[in-house]
Amino acid sequence: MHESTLIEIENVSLSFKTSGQDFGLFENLNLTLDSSLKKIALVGADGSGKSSFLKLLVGLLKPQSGVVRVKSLKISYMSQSLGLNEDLSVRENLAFKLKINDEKVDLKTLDYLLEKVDLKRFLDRKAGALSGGMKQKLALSGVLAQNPSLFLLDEPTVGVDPLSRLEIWKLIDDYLKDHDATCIFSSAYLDEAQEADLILVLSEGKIVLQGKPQDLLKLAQDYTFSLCFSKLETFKHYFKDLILLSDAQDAPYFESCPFKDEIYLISTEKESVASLEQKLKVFFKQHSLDFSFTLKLREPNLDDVLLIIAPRKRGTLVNLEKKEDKSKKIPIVVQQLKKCFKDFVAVKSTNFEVHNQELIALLGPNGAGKTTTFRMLCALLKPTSGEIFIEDLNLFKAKSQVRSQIGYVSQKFSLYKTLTVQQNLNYFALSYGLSGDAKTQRINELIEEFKLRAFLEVKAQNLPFGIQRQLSMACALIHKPKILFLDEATSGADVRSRRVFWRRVLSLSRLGTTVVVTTHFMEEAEYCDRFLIQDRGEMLCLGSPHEICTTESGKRLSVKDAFIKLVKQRRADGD
Amino acid sequence: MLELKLSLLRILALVKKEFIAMWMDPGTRKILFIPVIIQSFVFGYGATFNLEKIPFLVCDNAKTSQTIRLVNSMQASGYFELYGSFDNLTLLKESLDLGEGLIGVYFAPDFPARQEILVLEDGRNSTSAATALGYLQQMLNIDEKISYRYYFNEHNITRYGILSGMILALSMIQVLMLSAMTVSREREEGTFDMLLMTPATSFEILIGKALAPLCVAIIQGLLLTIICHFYFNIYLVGNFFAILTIIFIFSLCEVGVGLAISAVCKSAQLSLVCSFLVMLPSIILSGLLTPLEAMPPWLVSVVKVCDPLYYGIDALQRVYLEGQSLIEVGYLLLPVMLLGIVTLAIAARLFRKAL
Repeated sequence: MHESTLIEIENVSLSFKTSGQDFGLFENLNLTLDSSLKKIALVGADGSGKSSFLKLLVGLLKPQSGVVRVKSLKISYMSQSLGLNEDLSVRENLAFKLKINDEKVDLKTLDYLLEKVDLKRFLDRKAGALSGGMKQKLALSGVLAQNPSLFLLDEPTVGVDPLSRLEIWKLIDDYLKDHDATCIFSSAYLDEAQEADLILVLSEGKIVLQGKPQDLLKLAQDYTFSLCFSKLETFKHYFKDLILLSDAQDAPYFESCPFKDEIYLISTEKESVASLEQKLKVFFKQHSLDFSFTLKLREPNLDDVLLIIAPRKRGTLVNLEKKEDKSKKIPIVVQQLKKCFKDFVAVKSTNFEVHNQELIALLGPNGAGKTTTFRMLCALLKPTSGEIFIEDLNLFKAKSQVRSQIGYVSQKFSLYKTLTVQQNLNYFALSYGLSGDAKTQRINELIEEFKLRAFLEVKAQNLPFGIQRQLSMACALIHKPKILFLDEATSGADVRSRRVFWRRVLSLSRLGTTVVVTTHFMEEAEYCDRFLIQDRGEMLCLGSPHEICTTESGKRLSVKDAFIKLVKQRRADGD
Repeated sequence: MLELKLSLLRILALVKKEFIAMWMDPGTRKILFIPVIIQSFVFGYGATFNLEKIPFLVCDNAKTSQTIRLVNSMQASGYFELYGSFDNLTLLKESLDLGEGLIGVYFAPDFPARQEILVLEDGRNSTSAATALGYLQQMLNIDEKISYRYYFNEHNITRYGILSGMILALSMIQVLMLSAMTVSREREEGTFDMLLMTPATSFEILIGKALAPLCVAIIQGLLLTIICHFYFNIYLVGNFFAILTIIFIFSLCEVGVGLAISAVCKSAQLSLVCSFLVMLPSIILSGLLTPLEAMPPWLVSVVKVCDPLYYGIDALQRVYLEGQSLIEVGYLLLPVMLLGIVTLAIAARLFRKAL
């Protein structure tokens, strides 16, 4: 091994056995990493092998063949499950972490460390009672306290809000600045990966792309454009059409998403502004869309790169159909909703309404009461006081009736794992009162729509994550619900699946479904008609992305920046 | 009418799903029937108080024809086997200390006059020694013309009582665990939320969840009855359908207990611990293994209020061994039914509360 080499992976193969079937993950993997690198990012969808890759490096997984060589250094590792002892206090957890790694422990160092991560206030609180972001910080300080020269972090910011993410990265960056050390981390947030010195893109156990961020971004040059509108009204009226049209066979762009009242496009091939503008004009005319726009080139980001290198599969049918739901009923009315757990107020008295066919998002930092609110809306949790009306029916008085009108996709894709795809669909169809021909027909529709035909006889537990997501969605839509609840449905998905997912949600909402989502990807809130931000159980604001994200001086912020600004401001006022 | 149809559809969906899930899960499938069969054989052979070839030691200092005849008849009975003969009591005691025999019989030189036998027992193994002593007493009593006769189990074979009791006890173990795990496992896997999101009411969920374990319980009970009757030759005196009814009523009650546990426990592990907590006392205190008469009165009343197994076994044995009819054991089934209604009602309530 060369002097300057940090890690050397030679012909590594690794496979797992799941329910009798051999599942190959890595096959003849080769990689050499130089020790001059400070931050190395691992990027890829769920199941692409990020965690296993990190475990190989620290020796938690043994390859069936091949060698992994790591320069003899002080190595520290943080798993996705964090490895905290939920019943120990913050201080005890940190002390334990140090002691078990043969580090000297004195109170002073501990206090200093906890001071730095702003956890000193919670010294004696049990780790289990900390919020998600705080747990991550505690685990991270346990890693950094060992003064490692190489530390591996498995999704250090998973499920963490933008505010806590900033704090976590400050901690890591500060450490890297002061020490001669390397950090290898995996992340679902591509903006974090873009800050690294080297990016490794994993897909199905293969490193499909690696390089410095600036080199990778070059791949997307002349592909990325931004479509601007002179009037906000035009944007509001047409952006959903334009995004849905990405799937059209003859579209000059193959991906698009809303961002700051503009539409980010990725062209099918390298284009100049003028020629793409021409092509777009023709294309829009064909689809009888008439509006004025300007086109400009924009800086590519990592999302664009990954979308460009991914295999393009276009759905042939684009349905631009709109259905106006004429019913006078308001889908969701929340009145004076409040929830307390013992003496902790999770949700303070909250009021809001969701309009017909609206696409609405719930955002908030960890522990803001977002999940609690969401679960109450789904009748999975009883509020302490207040009322919820779904389609003019009182949620807690007519549970069964209300439930037949709502669909729900939970964070963990709660499918019956030992049942096959067909059996899962059958079960949910029967549960929602479909039988006979109606059932067969609806199930067939969904099988086609979600492309599940090939997997019908496969048990849910053996499905790839992407298909599990599809199946959960199919099960939730089986009874054509009027209201759809999606809880963190995109967490762990790669960029492409997330884009496909949002197009599906958009088209559902246009066909008459009211959709309520929660998400950790702030930029996804741009798709929504309105969103609300909660913090510490309180509703901070509710409005359209434009309303919330435009500052007094008229500057349009990204949702992420607006979110950070709002929450910080409110906390400063509160303290 | 439409509501009823929808409701039935939902229950059907749940029941179907439960059966598939139970059968598809390789872990659950294996424990459905095999352990019951193995256990019935193990208990059939192992769980018996009937002793054969009890090792005994003799020290005959009288040496009369009467003592020799007595020792011979002990050997000839098949219950006892002579392991050592000694000249004096000390040697006999030493041998007994070494565990070479379970009981020692001493005939003093003045036996012909006093007609008194000294019997030494190995108290380290009190149950067996007491049984051996019982046998010995019976043999000696023959001279006094007292005769015994056991009805319904003419040779007083304990296997009759234990195995017929096991029909309910063994199936109860499984059913309690199956039903106790059903909700907590869904909760762990996150599918319980999905279940709650369907229009199914808590009552429908209860029925859907109860049917699969109930069927398993009945099949297991029948399997055990068949093994008892055909393999161990414990003749089924009563009506087969009466047995079936008892198993049904009893299992319904246990499913209620299991579901109640399931509704309260957050994790599958906790459910398992709780079901053991219920299971062990209800089997041990049911009177199957130890006589209820030996327990303190307060404990007896506790058993009579909350142990369905006590009533179930009593009823089942009356039908199985004595041939009583359902109507005759009705007074025993009534408490089981009442307990069943109570446990199911509690389960339904806890379900609703958990929602």
